[in-house]
Amino acid sequence: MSKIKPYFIVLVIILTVLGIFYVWTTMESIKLGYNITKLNNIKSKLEHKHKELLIKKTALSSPSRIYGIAGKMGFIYPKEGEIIMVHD
Amino acid sequence: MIRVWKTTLKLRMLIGFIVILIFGGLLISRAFDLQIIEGQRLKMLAREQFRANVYFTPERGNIYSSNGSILAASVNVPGIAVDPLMVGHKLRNAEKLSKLTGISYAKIIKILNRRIQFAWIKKRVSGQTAKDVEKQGIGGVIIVKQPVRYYPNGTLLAHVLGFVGINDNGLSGIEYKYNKFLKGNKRALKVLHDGLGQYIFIRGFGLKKATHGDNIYLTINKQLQFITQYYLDKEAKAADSKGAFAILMDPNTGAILAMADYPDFNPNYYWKYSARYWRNRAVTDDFEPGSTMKPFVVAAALSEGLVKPDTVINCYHGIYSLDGITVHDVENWFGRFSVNQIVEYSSNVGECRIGMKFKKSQLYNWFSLWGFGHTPHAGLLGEAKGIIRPLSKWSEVGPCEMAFGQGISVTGLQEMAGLSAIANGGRIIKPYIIKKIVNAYGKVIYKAKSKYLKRIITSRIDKEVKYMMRLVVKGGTGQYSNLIDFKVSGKTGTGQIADPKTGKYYKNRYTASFMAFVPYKHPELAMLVVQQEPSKIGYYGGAVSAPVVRSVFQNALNILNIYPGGNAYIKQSKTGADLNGNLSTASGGTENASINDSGVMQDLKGDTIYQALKILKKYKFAVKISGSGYLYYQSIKPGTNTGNEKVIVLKFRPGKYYAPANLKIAKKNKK
Repeated sequence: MSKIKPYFIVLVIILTVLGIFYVWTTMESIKLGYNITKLNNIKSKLEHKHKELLIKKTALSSPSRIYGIAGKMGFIYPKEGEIIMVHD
Repeated sequence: MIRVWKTTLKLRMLIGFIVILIFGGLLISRAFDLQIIEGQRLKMLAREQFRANVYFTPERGNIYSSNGSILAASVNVPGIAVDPLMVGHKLRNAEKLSKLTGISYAKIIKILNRRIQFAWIKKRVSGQTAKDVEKQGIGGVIIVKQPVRYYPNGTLLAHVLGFVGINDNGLSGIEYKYNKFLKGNKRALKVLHDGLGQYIFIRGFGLKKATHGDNIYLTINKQLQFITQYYLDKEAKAADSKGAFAILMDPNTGAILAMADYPDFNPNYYWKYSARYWRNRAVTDDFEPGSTMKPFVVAAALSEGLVKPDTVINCYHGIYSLDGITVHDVENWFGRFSVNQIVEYSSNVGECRIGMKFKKSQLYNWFSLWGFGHTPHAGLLGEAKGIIRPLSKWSEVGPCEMAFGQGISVTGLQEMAGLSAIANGGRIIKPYIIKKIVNAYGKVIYKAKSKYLKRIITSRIDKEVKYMMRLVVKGGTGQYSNLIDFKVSGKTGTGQIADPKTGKYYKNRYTASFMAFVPYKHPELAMLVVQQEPSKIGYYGGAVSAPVVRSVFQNALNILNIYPGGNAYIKQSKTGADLNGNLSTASGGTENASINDSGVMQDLKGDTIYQALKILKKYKFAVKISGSGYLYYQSIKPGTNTGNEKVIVLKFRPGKYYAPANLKIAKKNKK
């Protein structure tokens, strides 16, 4: 009995440590799960915002809009012969 | 006492053991019941409580122009909905909602009084309105975000793009044809959630979201599309045409650079237009091509050895009768003309007589080789294949009529494929509009390649036909497309429109077309403009369609930086360019900057780059430029003879121009 006792104590300690480790990893995993969810939401929101801004930029730089604004400012397409091409 | 305690020890242990055994047995049996007997059912119940299937709605893919500018995209737009049963103080809240949304008070009251759990107040509102409504905190009012297809360029390319209806399904154009690529796949994702309903992503549960739709890149150049649409619209309105379309293409690759239709519509509000506005005439409509058919028939006749460019044909002064039909020319001044002149002045009689030199089957085969009567398969919705009557139904005078474009129907895309073959040296090429398709993870799943179908005419014959088409623009019927800096080749066409009921031609309804390419010898652009039933200005292709081609070419060549040849203006590189006055030009050859040996150099100091270059045009130098702003140095001194000079170096700098004398004073003061 006295020979078995130390082994038994060591076994209990190992099992306890393993149990605590298991619980800790599970808790961490759940915590990370929450973080991933949160980050996913942020990512998704930023992606949408980015897309919205890109679309806004496209709408603002649409050729018909630019042409309209340029026309009001007195800009017109250059006529033939008015363009001189310079090469790099 | 102790003795009694000791004697009963065994008994007490036994009782304790029995109690433990009973409770242990009960626990084990309960555990057995929970884990084994009821295990599956309970597991299912637990799963239902903590696991959930979340359905991610895929985002519809975007459509881009060739340089990656968005043409169509989906955005989440807020809308205002209510659960009428949950809304209290209906009169007061209806008033608030009416003020914020602009919907009438009576209409909102009607919605709030319905005995349902969901109803829309307004499906699309601005972000600000949504925020304002949210701030009010009205119970039962909810802000719902839902994807809406948006076309940020408005009417630009509307007929090609099409539009999307409810349920995110394409209803027309690219949106319809490539719906299965654009739409993506709805996907259910298994997740765990806590008591508050928050999702927890943990090991063993996938992170994959819905497969978003693929992104489609078109060959369309946004700038070229705009100018094509702009000038087509302008000329079609001026000519009061019932409809019109234009196609701009790279004749060397088959890539469609622009495709415009008149009248246009805004796909953001497609429901406000009648269906006839949605049609992409450039691909769905076939028409009698009229004289634009002539270069194709002449190329075939040259290939078969039936005529040569200088073969003289009697054009009977513009009136020619055979087998019950009479062919007329626009003017009666055609006598005996060469094949070159027949094309240049667009003689129907001459072309009819060339057509009659073919055997029927021979001409039929040539039409087929050019692609007439076959679907072009350019990747667009509703591509028509035109009409070529079966050989058995050709009358004796069929080749005569078809040679000048009557009794045959073609589509715009077919003509462009044929025109490109003439432009690129004789190879039929497949037009295409889809440049590539990229999936949601950035992987290219389809990439277009230029596809030469076959060579149908030799390069010698090609050069001869190109020259004939050059004559058309230079001095023939297509002069309105002439440019100063570039040589354009083209062919006009004026086709009569047949009455579908009687089969006879209307006397005053025409299709006016013009097809052309530029630069003449080594074309970079090919274009077709077709106006349907123009009623003002005129009805000839050369009068109403050629100006569109001219304006588009003029601007497109600048946009694409295609060099016209002539003077060589070079921006000086840091390392210094080696200038011999030889520059490669768009026409493929080299342009030697010729020297004006009698010129005397002007003083250019203080000029801007543009002012200096404008003056130097007459000297025909190679000009080397460095810096920007105002000119402060010119390598050829003012007043000197430029006879032996090949290159002039000009230096510019920003800020106010100082005359050399002032500069010296400034330097002295500095010292």
